[in-house]
Amino acid sequence: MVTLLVFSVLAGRLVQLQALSGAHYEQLALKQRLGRVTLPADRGSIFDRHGRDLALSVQRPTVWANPQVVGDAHYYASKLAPVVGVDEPTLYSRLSNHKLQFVYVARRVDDNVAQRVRALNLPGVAFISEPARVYPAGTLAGPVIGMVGSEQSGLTGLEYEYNKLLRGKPGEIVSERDVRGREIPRTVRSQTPARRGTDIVLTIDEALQYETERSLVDEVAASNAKGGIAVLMDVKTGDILSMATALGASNGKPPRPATATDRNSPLIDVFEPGSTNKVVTISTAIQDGLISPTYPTFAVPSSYSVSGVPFVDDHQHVMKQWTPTDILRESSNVGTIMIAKKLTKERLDTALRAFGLGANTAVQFPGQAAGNLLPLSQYYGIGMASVPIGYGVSVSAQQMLDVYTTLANGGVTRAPRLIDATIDAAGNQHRRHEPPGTRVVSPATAQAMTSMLTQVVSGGTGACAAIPGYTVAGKTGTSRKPDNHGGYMSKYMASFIGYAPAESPRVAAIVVLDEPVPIYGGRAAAPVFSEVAGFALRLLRVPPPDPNSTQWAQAQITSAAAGETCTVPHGADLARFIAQKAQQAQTAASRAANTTASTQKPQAPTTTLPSATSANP
Amino acid sequence: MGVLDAPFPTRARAFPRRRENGEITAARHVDYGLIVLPVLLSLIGLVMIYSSTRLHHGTYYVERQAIAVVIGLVGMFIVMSIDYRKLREFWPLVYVAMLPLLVGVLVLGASRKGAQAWFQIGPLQFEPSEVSKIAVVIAIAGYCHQHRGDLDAWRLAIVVMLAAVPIGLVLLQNDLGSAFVIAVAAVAMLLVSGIRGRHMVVLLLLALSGVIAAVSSGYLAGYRLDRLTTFADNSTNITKNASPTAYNTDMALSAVASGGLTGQGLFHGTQTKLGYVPEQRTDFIFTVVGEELGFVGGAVVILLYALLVWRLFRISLLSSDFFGTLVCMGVLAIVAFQVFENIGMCMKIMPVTGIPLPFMSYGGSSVIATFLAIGLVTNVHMRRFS
Repeated sequence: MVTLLVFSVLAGRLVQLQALSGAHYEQLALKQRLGRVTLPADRGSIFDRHGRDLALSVQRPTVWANPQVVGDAHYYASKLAPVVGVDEPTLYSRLSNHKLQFVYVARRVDDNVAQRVRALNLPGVAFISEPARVYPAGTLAGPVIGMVGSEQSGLTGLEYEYNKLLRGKPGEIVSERDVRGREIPRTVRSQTPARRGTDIVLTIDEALQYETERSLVDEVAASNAKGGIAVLMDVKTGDILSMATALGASNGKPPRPATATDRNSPLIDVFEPGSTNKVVTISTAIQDGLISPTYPTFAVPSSYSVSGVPFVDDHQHVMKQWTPTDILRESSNVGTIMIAKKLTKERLDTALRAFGLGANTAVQFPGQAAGNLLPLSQYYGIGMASVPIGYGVSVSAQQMLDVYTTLANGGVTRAPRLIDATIDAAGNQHRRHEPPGTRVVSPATAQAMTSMLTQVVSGGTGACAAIPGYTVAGKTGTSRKPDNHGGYMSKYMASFIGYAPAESPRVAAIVVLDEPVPIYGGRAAAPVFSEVAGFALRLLRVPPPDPNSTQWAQAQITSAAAGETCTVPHGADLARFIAQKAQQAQTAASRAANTTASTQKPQAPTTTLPSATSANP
Repeated sequence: MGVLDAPFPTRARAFPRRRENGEITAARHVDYGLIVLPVLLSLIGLVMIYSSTRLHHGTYYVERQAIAVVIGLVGMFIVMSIDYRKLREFWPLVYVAMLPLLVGVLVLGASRKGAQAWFQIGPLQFEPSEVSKIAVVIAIAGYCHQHRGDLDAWRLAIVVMLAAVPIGLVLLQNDLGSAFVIAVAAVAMLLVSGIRGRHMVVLLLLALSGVIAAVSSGYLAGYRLDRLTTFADNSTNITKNASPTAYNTDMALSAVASGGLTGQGLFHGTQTKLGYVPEQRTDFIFTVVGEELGFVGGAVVILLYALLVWRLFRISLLSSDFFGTLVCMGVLAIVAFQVFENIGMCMKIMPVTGIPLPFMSYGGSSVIATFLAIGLVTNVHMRRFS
């Protein structure tokens, strides 16, 4: 019978559905009911090396409105616009979209703005809390720290580089919900709490960063430069204590420190180093035993032709009898090319790479530039003339600083550090360890280079870099900027790179100015070095090894002879003060020694100053 | 070809016939099974309706349904008390009385969910198409009884017209399901009446061309066609974004299937309680049974319907006249087809149409009409000796 068949079919299907494939459908049904609520994780903070806040996340009120409740959109817009700072037509178009039930009026406003909106008492306007990123130090170190987008995800700088660490892990609640999405009580299947993002402790010192930016911007303003770069490192640890970018005046606005939306030039932008690259050439020649600081003596003309291309010294001079020390002090292009003739191009290329040029630094940063080294196959005739004096290669400021840090560190590379430590959600601090350095030149070579470089400051092009009470080793650079057609323009990058105190280097710094007037590194960049490095040495409480300010006094004479005026603020007062303090200390020490002698105590007084001539570590 | 060609030995003949006069005799021959089964199904239906509506509506729906069941039972006893054979002469009266109701609902009726099929009488709704099913059964039974063994082409045409007019009116109400039910009942009764083979073929061809015309003319397009074809689509896509016609079916399917062997427990069905299954107190009441009472509950319900249909079939054989046989067959066809279609659509083996599950689906008109039909069949059983 048909009916019998009909009922067998029904029963059969019931068996098939419930007994045989029940689990499958049960799963489908469960999946449909399960809903997830994401619990947002707090973003980690960014601190300076002393734990001062540079970036942190707070909850800020966001004003929103329900256009279906808003009656007169014109009235609402006119009332809200002046309070929240969004222009009226924009607000009107949002509020009059009656299809929506949620529009933003203004996101992450200040509490007092929220209070004023609340005081307007407009029905349909409400508040939610949203995390916002705050930078308590303002634009300080802006390009280094970077910024986050409206959804709190890093867009630039370290905020971007370490976004994964900083953002944490959102938690979630999985529970069953009905057809309208309402949660059903007591059906929670799993609950994962949100894990706060990891905090990052930078090696940057907030105070020093401020001082660096201020000094750099002042110089950019004074020299009417297009921009400037300054990086300061602790030689002992590789910590980058400050990293600054300044932008020159534009559109009638005065020079200013770069902000989070600008490029972090020390790591991202490259330039041709010019004379500062000569230390690679000369230290390699010394390392290979081809020359020594005093031998041989080169007969250096003012102009020298290589493969038909003339290379000239910056200041015209008669034929000079110069030792390598003299060549470096006078920053002679011709002399350096003569030294480079003793090297092969392969040796020079190896040396450049060993010092870290042509490869990313140990710092992790988005968009970092590795620069370019001239391929060996393209040296042609003049390669061994241009590369030794810093042309035909491009470097970043940080790379170039690393070259000098290596010399300051006794010939062993010191990886730069920007992140000191991370602090996980549980509060445990994890120090970041950088790879150990590799030896590039011997301690003796490094020592020789250091003493040669101190002469650059005391009696050469770098006189303006001198710091009262300390001995500075450093080198100036003034390089033409390349044009787009393989030639060079009459525009200059001025730089100074150095470290101090020369006796036991503690800080190293690079200062680069883009198209300053005057053009010379010794005039534009060296004073910034003096100011910033001097501040850093005092901040780090490095005792002045040369209380008589011998080098500073010499440098004053040198620059005066060259008709330059280096303006270290209160330099003379500072020198006098240091000398006075040192004398007081000495008097106190000898008095103490007399006292000990009279009371016959065997213990010798400990000197407050470390041995000024102690060897490099 | 007719079902009655073979001389079935009837069990009743094994018993001594007590031909006593009047209603008292008839009352002794009530088929209690035929009364107990609908009552049982109604009670299960009430529990299920309560389960599906108690969260948001308390006892509102279950009370209304209980009142309908009581009215249905009273109506059934009234129908039982009047000799059905009077309808052999008065069937045109029943038939003609039905037509104004069907026409009237088109003019005065309330429209709900795309169908204009209800009279709104105060707080009550009345759905004439439910009653029209029985009226058509009575009319066709009466006509075929009069022309038994003599069903030529012209008379066949009249029978077809008897069915076609209410089918047309019901279709105008957008009630495709009820139209199907009437058609199925008509075909079942024609088969019993001894329709000739070639006439049947012609009828089927006509029906087929009607379907083709409906599809090509655009009447059976859009959601109607989608609904009828979705069940054949094997993919299960449980999201609200799936096609809206698939949603009903998929939700029903997942609910029934989650029941397993013994179900999730009375009042504890998740898919139904959370409102994922639409129309669960009416057309999709079986999903509540399936989810909460599982295979055991579902099988019991199907078994009860099978028993009911068996009783109907048995009575159609016991009937003392051909009219009674036809009435039983018509009612059987209506109940069996509705059960199959309704439970079938809950399990995705039949397309979704708005056909209630007899006795169980919420809906007073359906419950009362079906009880009246059962009353009619009981009537046939009671008077099989007189």
